[in-house]
Amino acid sequence: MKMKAKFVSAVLSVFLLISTLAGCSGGGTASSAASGSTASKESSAASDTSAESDDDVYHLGICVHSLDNEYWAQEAAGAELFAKSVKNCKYDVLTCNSDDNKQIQGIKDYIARYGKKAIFVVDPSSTANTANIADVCEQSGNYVVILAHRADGLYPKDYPHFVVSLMLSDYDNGYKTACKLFDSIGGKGEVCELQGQLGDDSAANRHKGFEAALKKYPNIKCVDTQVANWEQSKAMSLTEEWLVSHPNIKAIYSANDTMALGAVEALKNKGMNTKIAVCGCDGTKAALNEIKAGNMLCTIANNGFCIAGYGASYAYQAATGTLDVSSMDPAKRLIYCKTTYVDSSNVDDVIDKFITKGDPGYDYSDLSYCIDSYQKVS
Amino acid sequence: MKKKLVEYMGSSTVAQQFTYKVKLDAKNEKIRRYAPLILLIVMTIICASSQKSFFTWGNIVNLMYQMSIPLVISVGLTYVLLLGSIDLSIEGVMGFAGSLVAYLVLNRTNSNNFGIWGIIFVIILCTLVGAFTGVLHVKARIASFIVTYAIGCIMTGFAVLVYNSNPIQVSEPLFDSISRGSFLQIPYITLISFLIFLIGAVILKYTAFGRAVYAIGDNEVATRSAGINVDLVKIKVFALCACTACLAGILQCVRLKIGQSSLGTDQMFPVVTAIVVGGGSLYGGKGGAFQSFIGVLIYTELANWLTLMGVDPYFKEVILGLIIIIAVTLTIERNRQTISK
Repeated sequence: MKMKAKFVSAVLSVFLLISTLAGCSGGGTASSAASGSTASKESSAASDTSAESDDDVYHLGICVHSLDNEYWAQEAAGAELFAKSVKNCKYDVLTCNSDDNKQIQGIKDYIARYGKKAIFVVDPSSTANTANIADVCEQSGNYVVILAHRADGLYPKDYPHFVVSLMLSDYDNGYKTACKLFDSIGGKGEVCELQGQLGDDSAANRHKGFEAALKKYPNIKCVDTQVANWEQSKAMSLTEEWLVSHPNIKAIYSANDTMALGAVEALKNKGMNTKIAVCGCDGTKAALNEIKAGNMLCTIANNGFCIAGYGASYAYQAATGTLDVSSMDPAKRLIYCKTTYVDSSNVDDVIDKFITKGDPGYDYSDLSYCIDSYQKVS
Repeated sequence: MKKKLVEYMGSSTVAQQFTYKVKLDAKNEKIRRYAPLILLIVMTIICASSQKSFFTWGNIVNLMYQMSIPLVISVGLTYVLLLGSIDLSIEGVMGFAGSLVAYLVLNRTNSNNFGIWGIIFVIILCTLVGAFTGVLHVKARIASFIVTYAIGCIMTGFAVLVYNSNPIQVSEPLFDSISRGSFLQIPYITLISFLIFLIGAVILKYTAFGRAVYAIGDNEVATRSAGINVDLVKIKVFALCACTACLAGILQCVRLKIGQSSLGTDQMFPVVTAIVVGGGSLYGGKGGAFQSFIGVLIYTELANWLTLMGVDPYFKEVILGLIIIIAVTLTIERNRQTISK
């Protein structure tokens, strides 16, 4: 028994020694190991032009939470499309599983490996982490674009290398889908609301948009609002209960597609899917299919191809000097990115571009295309 | 209390004191045993009197739908909790089973159409995974909450790999007919869950295997010295739990028509709570299929009632938590020395 224990401890110490040594031997190998799941790929355009010297090649770090979510995968795909659209840009996808430390570490490792040639497009692991990301990139002088979140008081104008903040207006999305939903039922009647997770800023802003729409339509009565935590099964149960407790509802507002799909399934089971309108938000494949089938009214595709592709383009153009960051108007570095409203009229086109082809065909060199409006600074 | 004490101390002989203690224990046991049932009845009366739509047939059907998946999970989990162990892999296994079954039956992503054979394959695979978990637990002697957590992570990972971050929509007509069909107005899904529950309950109550589970939970050392193959029983229990988690995942997929890892999210802890509310013990040896059934009913009714009442979502979680604490305080056994492990 003792012998066995000794043997095991010997093996473990050898393993420890080897891993320590490996950790010290040059930033290159260590960084790729430390940054967790790093899907490394070379842009095909870059590999074609083998004459291109390594000095001119930029390395785009695409930082997303993980690839198990359709939207994050779409963001990664958008940034990859951009990298393939220019000659001298290679890319790596760095995932962090929503872990703040892991994301920062991944960025630092990437900088250690590629120096000034590293540029980033980051969907931050949390809103709070955006300040850390901007600091890290500023210290080493790497250009970065941060998507979808921005901590209060963090402005690109204070950071010469924080090119732009590209956000999605959850308030506008909530407002727009709610208005379309209310229009579809003739502007009057009872509705219910499915909210996202409590404490989540997207959920809170979409809810505010919904409430603003309610004020605009005085004949719409919201008879119940419940939290379904972005989850399909919870939304399904809640909808089943509403069909009993509020049999007169005409529409269900859902803050995202996953919950909307739960509501649609519950309605289908009761044969009410054509009688009660449902809206969603995000533009998942399943939701697009339901819109096509006529079971869902509308959604807003957050469009990862647009936000991350143009985000990458901003960072690249700043690094190559095409875009002079210092001369930009500070207000124009706070951008609300375009989203895509989807209903039965354009669903086929959206499915074809976003899902089937996986390429909406954007011209990523035209930076103004992605701008919907500018963020208001209070 | 004082009267009891006098009676207890006043007994002249040790034998009398002992008899009294046994009687008191038996009485407490009876109260504890029926407390959840009484709680359920009281709660049902409160629900029905405060909300007139609670006892409509439509809502009863809802309750049957909503209790079916927690009930299936509870079948396997009851066994594991009876051992004094825990299975944290349930959510991962559910997500994996749902994703894989969506991949194998008729769907909108690929051209697979294995139908019922796909379902059977997934059930067998998940049961084997459970058995493997059990082997790791008893042979490598890893604590159950660690090994099951690890297996849960692995299964969640595999689930995502199955659909490659593009959740699979199911178009299998069999799923449609199960999720919408009913017999005597009782949904098929509920009937299936009752059937699984009955099988689980019969095995637990009437077989040597079931009695061994109780014995191990009560006193593992004594059971081992009585010549029962404790390790084998434990492996079987983990296999059974994974099997029911898999069935729950498949039923969840049938209900939602989509295969993704989040099918299992937030499914396990409510059921653990329900089992404890029903009178099961986290230390093993106490509880049973019927108690779990009552617990699941209490939990489902509570969640349903809070929605029907239109309780503000911010307060809903608070109320749910408070009621669980009250219910567990009323029903839990307190004569063990340690509070937590």
